[in-house]
Amino acid sequence: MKKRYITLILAFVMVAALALAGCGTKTPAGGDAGSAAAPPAASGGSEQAGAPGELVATGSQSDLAKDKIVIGGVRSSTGTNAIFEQTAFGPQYKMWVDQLNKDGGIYVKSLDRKVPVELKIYDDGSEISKTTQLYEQLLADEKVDIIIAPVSTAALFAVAPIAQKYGYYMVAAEGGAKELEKYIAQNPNVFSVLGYSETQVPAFVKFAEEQGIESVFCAYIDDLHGTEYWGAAKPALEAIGVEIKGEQSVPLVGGFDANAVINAAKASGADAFLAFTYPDQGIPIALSAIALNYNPKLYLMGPGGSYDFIGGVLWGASGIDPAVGMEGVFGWGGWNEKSSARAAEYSQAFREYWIDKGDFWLNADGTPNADGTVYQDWWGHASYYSVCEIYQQAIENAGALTDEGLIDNALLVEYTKDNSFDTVLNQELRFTNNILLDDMYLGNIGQWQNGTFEVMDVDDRRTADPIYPKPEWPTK
Amino acid sequence: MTLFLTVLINGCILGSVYALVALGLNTQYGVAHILNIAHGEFIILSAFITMTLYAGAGLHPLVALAVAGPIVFAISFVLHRTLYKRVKDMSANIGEFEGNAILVAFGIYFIVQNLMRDKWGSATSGYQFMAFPVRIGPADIAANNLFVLLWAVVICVVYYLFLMRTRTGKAIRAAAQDAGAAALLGVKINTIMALCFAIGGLLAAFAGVLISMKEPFTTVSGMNYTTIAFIVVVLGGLGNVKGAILGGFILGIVGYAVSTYDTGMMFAVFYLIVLVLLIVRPKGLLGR
Repeated sequence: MKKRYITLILAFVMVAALALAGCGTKTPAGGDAGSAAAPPAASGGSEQAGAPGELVATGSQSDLAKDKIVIGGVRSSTGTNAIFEQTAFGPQYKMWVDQLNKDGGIYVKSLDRKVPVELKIYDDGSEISKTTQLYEQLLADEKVDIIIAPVSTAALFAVAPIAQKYGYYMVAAEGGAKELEKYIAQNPNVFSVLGYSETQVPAFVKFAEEQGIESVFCAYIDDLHGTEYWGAAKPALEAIGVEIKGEQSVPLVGGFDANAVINAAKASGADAFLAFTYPDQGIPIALSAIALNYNPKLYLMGPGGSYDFIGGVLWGASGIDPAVGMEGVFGWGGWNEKSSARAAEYSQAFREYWIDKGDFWLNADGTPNADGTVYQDWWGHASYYSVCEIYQQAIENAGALTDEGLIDNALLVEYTKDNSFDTVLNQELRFTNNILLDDMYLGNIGQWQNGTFEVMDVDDRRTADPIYPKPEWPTK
Repeated sequence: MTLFLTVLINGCILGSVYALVALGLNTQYGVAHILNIAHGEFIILSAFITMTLYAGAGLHPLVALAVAGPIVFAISFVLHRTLYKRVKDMSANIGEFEGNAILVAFGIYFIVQNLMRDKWGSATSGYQFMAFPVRIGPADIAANNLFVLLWAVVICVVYYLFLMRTRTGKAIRAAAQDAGAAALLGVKINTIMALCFAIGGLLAAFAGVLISMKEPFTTVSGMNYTTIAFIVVVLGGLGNVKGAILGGFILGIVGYAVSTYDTGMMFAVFYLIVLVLLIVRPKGLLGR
């Protein structure tokens, strides 16, 4: 019997480790980052690539021989982060590369011609140790031309020093955190596009002040994201006189009881309920709110609240139109086809491209969209596609080859620091200390109104009047 | 009083699911000596089958008990008669078999999870079923949760009676106590082992059907339930049916009570309970 208990303990440890592996992918990974690479070289880019200008070898053998540009990346096609590769940046870069190649490839300035693009993407299984190992392989051994960023904030922490060490340029898509600002300062080859607490929390606080919200209850995910958002929101709300009627952390691993969160929030009687959580927590919490008929005056879902498909998941099989079910619910981010002509153009192009390939968005029953609907993320998608545009414009305007015949990443870094970009997000998008300031975004908070995610920022980006208080959850 | 009632009722709801999840694993390990790491994957597979039947074909979720149950039962039975039996035949002793079986289970875990991801994607899935509150005393309880509690209790009771009252149940209990002696007394031990593994799968399927009615899930959330099953099994006692049921309800009530103050602390308290138990009473509450 003793042996059986030893087996049981060993198995339990293995299971716990496996269950917690998912946590590690979404939390800051200082240890991982530290072990992933040696301290970044002060000028990693120029060390490998040489000084800008010296490397433009027009007409050289390497220029003539350059027949493709290899874009490498390590993404999470499997594991807990697969949802992001499947629905966030994944559809953007795949569409971008496909469109580039249909048009003959990407124009490289020094070559004065287009070069076809090849994707070399590895799957890390949502394990950061694999992410770093595979980036080392891509950069040190396989020597791809440029790299795209990994999936999560934690992976960005781990990969940034590797990109810096090998002198690679990297524009991050998913992931963003206040902590990342300091980290980016140490790894200046890395740029970050996605908005986060720094711009979104102040936008919500302004909104709360405008609408006279008197009290809030917050459920926040117990990782970097949740603690950062709530850590920023709590003092800011208190400063404008909003009473904090309750707060609860929510575990990253599933299996928690969302009813407990909603019962506590309901008992608090707060005006606003804030769920600073990922979809994996936000969806069960919202389903509990519906089942327990919890109707605060304001309901905010964190990441995921801006996804078109959220309505389908929450209301798809209920017989109630998801647009009616989601009426009045808030989420982070915020843009729509009314935000700008450029945004509308991109949104339509995205839908048209994916309309026949909609298998990355599924209906609530798991089947591909029968109605041809291509779902958008009204927070991230504009930012993610802008990342593709930034890469493209940097190469078009500053692209040149190194002695090794690879794209000179140092030139791309320099160009990105010094120039603006014409993107979906902003037609004069410019980085400040390698991140974007508030005025670069189309919006920071949004609200579902009649099936459209309307921008609710208290300024001229707002696309509709707010609905406050939120209407009751509909019933059949 | 309101808080006490809310904790008690919601804790029992949570506990009933935990008990059901643990019963399957307990049967598979207690008799067949297979610590099935892939247990949660079959729970999730059944949840997806239920959602597909409900959202896709408009069938009542309970219909899935008659669909997902036999499917997972058959898969589990075949897995035992092919993979696990072969591994057992090649193992020198039961200890070696248990170690090897865990490795096989890990392989099945990855295969099932990836097949589900290919079929249903990675997004969080779920559906609304009986999504309205019911007033019990001072507490509002979600109707779907009460429905799940009712069915989980029914399944636990039926399974307990099956073990206690039927000839097959007695053979299973005999095999659990001493497989060698049971074989000498005429119990077809290989069939019973396979049957137990399959019954474990059947209970996982039933748990998956019920879980899908009350909470959303993803293709990678199976391990959460496997972890909970392990904790309950340790708490209740290896191979003890009553222990698994009691452990499930205790853990559910403790879990909900902790969640009332901070949901994020729930798993920390669960792990603490396991640590203390393994040191103080490794047999579990009702362990043999």
